[in-house]
Amino acid sequence: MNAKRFRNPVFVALDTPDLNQALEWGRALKDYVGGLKIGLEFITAHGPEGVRAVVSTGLPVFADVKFHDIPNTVAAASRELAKLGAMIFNIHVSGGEVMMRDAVAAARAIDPRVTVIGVTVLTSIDNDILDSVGQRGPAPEQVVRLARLAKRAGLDGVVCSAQEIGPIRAACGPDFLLVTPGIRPAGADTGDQRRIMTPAEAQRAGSDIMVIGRPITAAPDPVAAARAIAAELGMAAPT
Amino acid sequence: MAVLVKICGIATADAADAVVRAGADFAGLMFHPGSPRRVDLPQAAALAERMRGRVRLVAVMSDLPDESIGAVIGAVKPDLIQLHGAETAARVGAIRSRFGVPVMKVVSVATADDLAGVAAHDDAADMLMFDAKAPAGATRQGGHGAAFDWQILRARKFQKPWLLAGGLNAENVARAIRACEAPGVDVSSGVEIAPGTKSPDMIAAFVSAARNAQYGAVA
Repeated sequence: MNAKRFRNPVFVALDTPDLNQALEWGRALKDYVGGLKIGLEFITAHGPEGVRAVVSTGLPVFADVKFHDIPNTVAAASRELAKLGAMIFNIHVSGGEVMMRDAVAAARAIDPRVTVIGVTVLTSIDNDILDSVGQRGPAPEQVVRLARLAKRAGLDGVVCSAQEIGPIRAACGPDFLLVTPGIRPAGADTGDQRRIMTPAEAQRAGSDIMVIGRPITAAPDPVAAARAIAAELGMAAPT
Repeated sequence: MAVLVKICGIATADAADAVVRAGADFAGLMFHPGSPRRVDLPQAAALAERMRGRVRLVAVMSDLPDESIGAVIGAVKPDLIQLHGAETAARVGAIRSRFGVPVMKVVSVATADDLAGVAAHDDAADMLMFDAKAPAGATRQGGHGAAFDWQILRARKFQKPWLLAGGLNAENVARAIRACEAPGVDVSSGVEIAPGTKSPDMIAAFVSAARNAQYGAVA
């Protein structure tokens, strides 16, 4: 069931409140990326109709919702998200093992192909913040601790920075999917992600899904930018 | 966790809209020739587009050859295939890998003996459904409104999610769920005013009764 790797690991982040813009990107980039990622801004602005519209492009959709609530609530929300057709979504590992298990069961009962990813420590959280919320640091250790828990709870993988791939891979094994945001082609604006790597570096490090936003969507020619990334990753672009 | 609900045998736009409005999880489109709920491919495709993304689409087939299964999948693009015939576990696995669509296998039950071969289907399929065995001489497998002894399933463990079917309606569904701790339920004739004619009110009542019957941890 869990042969869930994608031929093209690039998921383009449709970080915009503009539905038409998002759909235009989705359609234009269809042949050059592996999937589309939508987040809270998009989902809050456009709701289930917006999610269905993005799903209708035919590309796998990663809903970056980061659910974190009591198990029943997260399970019910996971079921509804799976019904909308999102093939990947994420939940906070710190919600605990029962919450994670129930979310996986609820989503898989709707569609067994759904991939559920854990969020460990947000990239915006440093050791001081971790300490201030009463979590045990240092951050890199907490990341691996939560990744192990995610695996035990039956999640398919976790979101992590490219630098965390090594230790998580060592702890969780080759089948655990590692989703890396903050990937920037060489020379691109680093935006708001602190820890960055290029697509080729992330690929060598073992990233399974790379979330790339502005380096594609803010490029003068998004299709050309996506093609260049696909080429950098050694994937023949369709003609 | 909330009980999954499937409404089977959707054949009209009214029924499709009622299923979506009621918030059911799965809607079944019936391709078995003997069924009063049977839809042809153009009808099924139109109903599927009406419901897509609002409820998971299930194509229900019995013992069809690959060619016919392929035609249904091409027209309907279902989220799930329900195999309601005498398909073996090997056949279930072959259909699943050939078409790349998840499969729910129906196991017809009258007594506990009928569960003997279920482990192989539990391995091969993505979901299971336990339906009442058709009465002797019936020309189709499901939709007879007959129930079986739900207690047979109590305390049975399956790897895959499963739905209870057969003779369910808004009045008895909560009792059935509690009797066997079913993770989900399926209904067809139990929400009809005449064979093949769905009632939107009965669909809404059924979904509500099943959802309110949830067992296990309540937050």
